[in-house]
Amino acid sequence: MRVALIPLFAAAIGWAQPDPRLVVLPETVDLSGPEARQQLLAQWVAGAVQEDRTRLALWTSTNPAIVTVDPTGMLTPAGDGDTLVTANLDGRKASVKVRVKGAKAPFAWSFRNHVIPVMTKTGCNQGACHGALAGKNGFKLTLRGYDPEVDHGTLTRHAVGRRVSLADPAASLILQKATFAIPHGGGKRFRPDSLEYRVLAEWIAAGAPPPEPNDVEVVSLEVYPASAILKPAADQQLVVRARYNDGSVHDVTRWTKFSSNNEGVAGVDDYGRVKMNGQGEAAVTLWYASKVLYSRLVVPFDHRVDPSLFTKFPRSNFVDELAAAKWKSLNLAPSPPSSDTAFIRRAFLDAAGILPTAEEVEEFLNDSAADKRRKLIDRVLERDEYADYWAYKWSDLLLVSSRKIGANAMWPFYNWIRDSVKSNKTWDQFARDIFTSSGSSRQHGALNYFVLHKDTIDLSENVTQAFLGQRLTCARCHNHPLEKWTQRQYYQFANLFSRVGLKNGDRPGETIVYAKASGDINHPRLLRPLEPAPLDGQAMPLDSDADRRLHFAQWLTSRDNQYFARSIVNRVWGNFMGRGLCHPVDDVRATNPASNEELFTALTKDFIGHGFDIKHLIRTIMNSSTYQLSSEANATNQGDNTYYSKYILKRLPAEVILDAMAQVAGVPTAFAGYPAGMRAMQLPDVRVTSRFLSVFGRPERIVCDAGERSSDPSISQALHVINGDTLNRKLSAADGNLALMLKLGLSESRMVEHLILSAFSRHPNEQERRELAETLAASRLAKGSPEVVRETRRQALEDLAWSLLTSKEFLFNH
Amino acid sequence: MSRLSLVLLWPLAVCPQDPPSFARDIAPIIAARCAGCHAGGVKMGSLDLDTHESLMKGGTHGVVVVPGHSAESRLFLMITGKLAPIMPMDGTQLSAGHIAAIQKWIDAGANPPTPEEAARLREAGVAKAPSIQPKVALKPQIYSMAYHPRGLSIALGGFKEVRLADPRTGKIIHTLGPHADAVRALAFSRDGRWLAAGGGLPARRGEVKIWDVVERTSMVTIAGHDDCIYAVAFSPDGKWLATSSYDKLIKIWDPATGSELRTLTDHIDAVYALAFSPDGKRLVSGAADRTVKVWDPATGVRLYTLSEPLDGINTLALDPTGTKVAAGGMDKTIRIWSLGETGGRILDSLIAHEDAILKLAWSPDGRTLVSSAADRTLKMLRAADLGEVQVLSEQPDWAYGVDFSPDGKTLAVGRLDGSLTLLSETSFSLSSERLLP
Repeated sequence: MRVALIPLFAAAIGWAQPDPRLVVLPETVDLSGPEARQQLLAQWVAGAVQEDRTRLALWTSTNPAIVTVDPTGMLTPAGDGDTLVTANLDGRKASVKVRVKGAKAPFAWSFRNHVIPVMTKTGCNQGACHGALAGKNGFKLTLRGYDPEVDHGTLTRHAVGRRVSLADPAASLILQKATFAIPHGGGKRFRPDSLEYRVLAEWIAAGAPPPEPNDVEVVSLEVYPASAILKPAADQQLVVRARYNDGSVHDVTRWTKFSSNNEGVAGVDDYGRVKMNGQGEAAVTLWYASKVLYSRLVVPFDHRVDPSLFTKFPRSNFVDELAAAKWKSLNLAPSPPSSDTAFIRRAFLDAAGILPTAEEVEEFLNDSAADKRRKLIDRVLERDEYADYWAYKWSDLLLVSSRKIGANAMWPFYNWIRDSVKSNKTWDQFARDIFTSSGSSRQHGALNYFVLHKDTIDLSENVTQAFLGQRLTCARCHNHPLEKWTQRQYYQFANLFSRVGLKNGDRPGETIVYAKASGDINHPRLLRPLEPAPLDGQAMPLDSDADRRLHFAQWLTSRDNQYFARSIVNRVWGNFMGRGLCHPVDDVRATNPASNEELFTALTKDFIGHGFDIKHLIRTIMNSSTYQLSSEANATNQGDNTYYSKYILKRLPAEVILDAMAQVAGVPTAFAGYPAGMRAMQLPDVRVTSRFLSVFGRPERIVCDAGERSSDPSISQALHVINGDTLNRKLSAADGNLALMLKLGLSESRMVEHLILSAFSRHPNEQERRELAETLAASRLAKGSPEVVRETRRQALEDLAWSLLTSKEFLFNH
Repeated sequence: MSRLSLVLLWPLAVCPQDPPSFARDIAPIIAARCAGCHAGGVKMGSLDLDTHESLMKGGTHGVVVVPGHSAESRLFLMITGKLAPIMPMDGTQLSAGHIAAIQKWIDAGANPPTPEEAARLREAGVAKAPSIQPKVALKPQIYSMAYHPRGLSIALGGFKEVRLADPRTGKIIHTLGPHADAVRALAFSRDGRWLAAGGGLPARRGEVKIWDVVERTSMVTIAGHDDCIYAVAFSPDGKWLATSSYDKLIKIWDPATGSELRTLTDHIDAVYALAFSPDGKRLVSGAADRTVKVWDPATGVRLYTLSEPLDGINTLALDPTGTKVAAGGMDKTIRIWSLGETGGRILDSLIAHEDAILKLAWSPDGRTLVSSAADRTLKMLRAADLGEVQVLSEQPDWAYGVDFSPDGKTLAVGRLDGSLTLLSETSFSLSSERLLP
């Protein structure tokens, strides 16, 4: 009785000590064939944390005539049938059902499914060795075995069969070299008594059979544990299984390539043994047979976080739920909410690229309505400047500039983008505007996209990066080493865009875009075209005369297309939060896991569910408490720039800085060829000369890559603001705000108040009020004629304004 | 290749008082730690550590061992890191014991192995691999093929053997051997007396056995090249035998004695094909470096290079007059050049196949060119314009053996799976014979 009360007692005190249990992974095992093996894991699960105790458990097989298990938890088939394998540890036990089929069946190693994976795992066909473009020492394999048919010819027949000896298998050059029985520049890759040697030798002894078109193929991978919270410095073995298209499942851990996306948190060796090196979350990515997957492993930070912090964190929407869940699992405490002054400045800059005016700030600060932030967000999203900012952003994406298409074409292109933003055109419709239109590029500005990317290869690579967040380029020459994309898929995708016809229209800058009736791009080795297919979507027949772009557009904008939605969600999220859920923001690949996958999935689902409505997405983000957190760190999250437990500081983009300086100084920037008063954010063309913009990282819009816009600091930037004309001329302009303030005879404290409100969206604090006003006032006491005094005063005010506009508080969004 | 590789198995129980021995102390270290980059086909810094002799010869920077003076020996300076880059270059330095052993040996005079020790070192270079038997019934493979100049037999290069087949019945008349490994190159002398069978151990050394065709005895065994031999050719007057190898070299030998006369260096990749012009004044070679080169075999001077091919050359064939050469290879294209005194001129080219071209053969009447390719087709083309006359597809395997009978009436095709087919040229169709199924 008393014993039973202890857990209750413990719960009452709040110890929350859950009963630990033993779990065996994978949960079911099917072994087919005499060479099938399965590594089991025994995970000790206590609450949320688990531990790999595979080697400590006592393993037993109920029926060793069916399957035997060794002390490390490795299963070996013995005879056909079903049985249980059990792990015992510290009074707990767990069993797994094992079914064995074909234990004595005839077996042959498959070139595609065994020999190639062995050669890939042991590194024969890696880029540094025989997988290099020129191979090594005349021996060239396809990179990571992406073309087994070609590799088979190379291994068994090229160079008059020097590499494999059917009549004397052990004399085969590939075995002698790989075991370093004879000198090998690549060193000893495996030992003669290894499984790898046996696979190759037995395959040769069987006559080195080729890959067959009806070989089973890997469909997907699974990893155990798929995600886990581990103890600090924990060791965890990963187990990887491959599912084949005949339904069979095999343990392929031994031949999987492992890597960690954050060595500081987790390291992994060639055998899939993970070592947790630090605190935080890491994704261990696996690659096998051109399929990829990852396991997420976490060691929570060892901060003492009061659990009530999580319960008290205000949840405005699902974003907050999911963000908080991640912080809780990591033991990161969120920073407090931002102040109103921080919020208004942030909201204006992130959504519309402008500063709020001094009046707008004062009005907001004095507003006592409970929902004033929500209303502010709504107002900002209706501003013209909002349309300018996002039109500019999508112009970055679609490479709008006069460089290749001339001003006559650039304007319809830009105007279409801006009109789309202004009318809140849904993202799928935006894409359809491009891919389903034909005709005049002047009437349908979107069609200039095809004029910019006339080359089929260029077009398909751009489309995938801009709209799908995928970087396909590597797959042009071989299977993508980091992705699941194959070279075949690359050329199938490119063939969707091989019939885009362009001809000159009547008017300057006009191009007529139409779908040609013929045209194909050939696979470079097969020298024939492949059926057009959008990545892993449905292929269309080669001889169909339908506009292939329509087939693509349908797939692209389908509600099932995760890539399309995820890519834009990530970009928008990154704009506000300072870091995409996948980073870099346009690299949403399978081997680049999100920092909060649950949140990413939920955001994407919500976005699709609301019809790809960008404004809805923006509202969801901006209204969340997560977005509205302060940027000030607390004791736990000083180093966190990944999980959004505080607002991430970001330097403002070049155009925003320039416009903000112009706004505070009251002097618009002059852009050659554009009307006075135009803001940088309204420019359709990045070829407008502006040293300031170039120096502060404006992209050239030649390559569609988020990295092209730079926010790196440089000496040029510093020199530009110290010595350059741009800012100084605005400050000293006779018709600028500073001159106006002097003319109006405003008091020093008024001037300080106004400048700080305009530049920092807040009132000056006591010290600033006092000291800055004093500095200005001192300038009145200059000796000399009234001219000299005026001059001195002017200079003092300019200096003050300059120091505000070049400060970090101004240049950064916080 | 390394003659030292299996020296690893020799016991290394060294008593400190024993005088240093190259065979016992030094050779195993070299085999384990240095031979990967300094032996066989790869000799970094031109330093060959394969034998004591080559070690003492040195490399690009001169001698690496100064007998009696380890402190002045480049080898010692590099393994101790006193001279950059530190050796071995794989990041793990030799153990103190190994460095001491090398130092001791150099200071004691860097003495060579005894002749018995040297012989054992050479033998050990033939790596003894475990014996694994093929699990499938294997037809004897055909790696190369040549018709006897008077049509008395067809020589089939196989694994460690050459089989002579009766060209009418297909029966094997005789088997010649043993050879070190697959016989990848065959050539009869013009008078039909000699058969040169070229092969050797891939990545280790080349071997040619010259057989007396009538007596069926081996007259001369040539050991040369650092890799196996891919082409052999007798000069028309029988005074020279040319060999070419994966080691990028062409060598000319006296077939009567087996002595090496000269080495032709210029190719930068494996040399797969050779042919003498009918007057013996020119030797033409084709290599994986995408070139065909024309040489003066008497002097070894390279006269000119034909560089139109876009990928490695596997095969070449001279027309019967010796004024034209056809070559083909990895770029699937047959090209024909005219051979001039100081240069060649491309006459024709055709993307003939969907995969690498393996073998070209020119009919004795100069009218037909035959090509076999990795796409498993055999094509008969008109030599004059490379017009396609006939295509035989779905060949059972790659055909490295394609040769016309001396009277031009029969075409023999020998494939890697061991199948041999005779085609009647007059009808350009598959004749009934399917010899050696």
